Amino acid sequence: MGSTVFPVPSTSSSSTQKWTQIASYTSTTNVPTIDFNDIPQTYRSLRLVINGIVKQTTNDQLYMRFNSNSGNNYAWWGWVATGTTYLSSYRYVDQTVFTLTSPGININTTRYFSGTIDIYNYAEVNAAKQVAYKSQWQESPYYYNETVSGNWNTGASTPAVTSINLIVGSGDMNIIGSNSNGIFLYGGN
Amino acid sequence: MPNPMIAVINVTDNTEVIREMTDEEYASLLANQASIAASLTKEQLE
Repeated sequence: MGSTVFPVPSTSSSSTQKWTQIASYTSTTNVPTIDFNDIPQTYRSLRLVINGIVKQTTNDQLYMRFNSNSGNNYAWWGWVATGTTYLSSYRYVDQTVFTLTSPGININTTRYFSGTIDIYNYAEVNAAKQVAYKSQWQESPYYYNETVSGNWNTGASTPAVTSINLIVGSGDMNIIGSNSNGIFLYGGN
Repeated sequence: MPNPMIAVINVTDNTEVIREMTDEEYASLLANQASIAASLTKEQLE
């Protein structure tokens, strides 16, 4: 499987490079963790699309891990803005988790999260897993937007990504049960 | 009080299970949440 070139998969069924939906989660049950396990190793890239997660009690962050790995193997930088106002740029290195929400801009019962997370190179062993995502929190009248670039496990003995773990910082989270919300995982060739 | 629920999606088998966490899973979750909050370190770029 080639990994040094990243063509953008198409959603067209006629394209040879396309995204294929391989899993979905639409339950509105309150849960603190959502795991996508046993991910097929047959694609070049993964795309996780999250539409509408809220947190049920107080503010907190939404985290993401690969393979339930809690080592200091996560690094990323990004910037966050509202629709009209730049807020900040930041960098994290040697962390134990990706944060899908910026500190200070957590999710709660009225501020819900959506995002698109691309994971390149996920099936290749002994290669860094590059991650790019765009996140959004909506809380009228503000729309917070975050753009992130990062990687997981830059070491020489990096495993393939076989599971994606979403974790909320405390309490429970759930999918908003309307507008076809949910979490959708795609494989891209 | 029951433990929280956990959602597990097996992508290969296309199955989804939402079940109560075991005591071990819940203890691990609480430990993870505490350690994440304590260890996150942001470097502000500007």
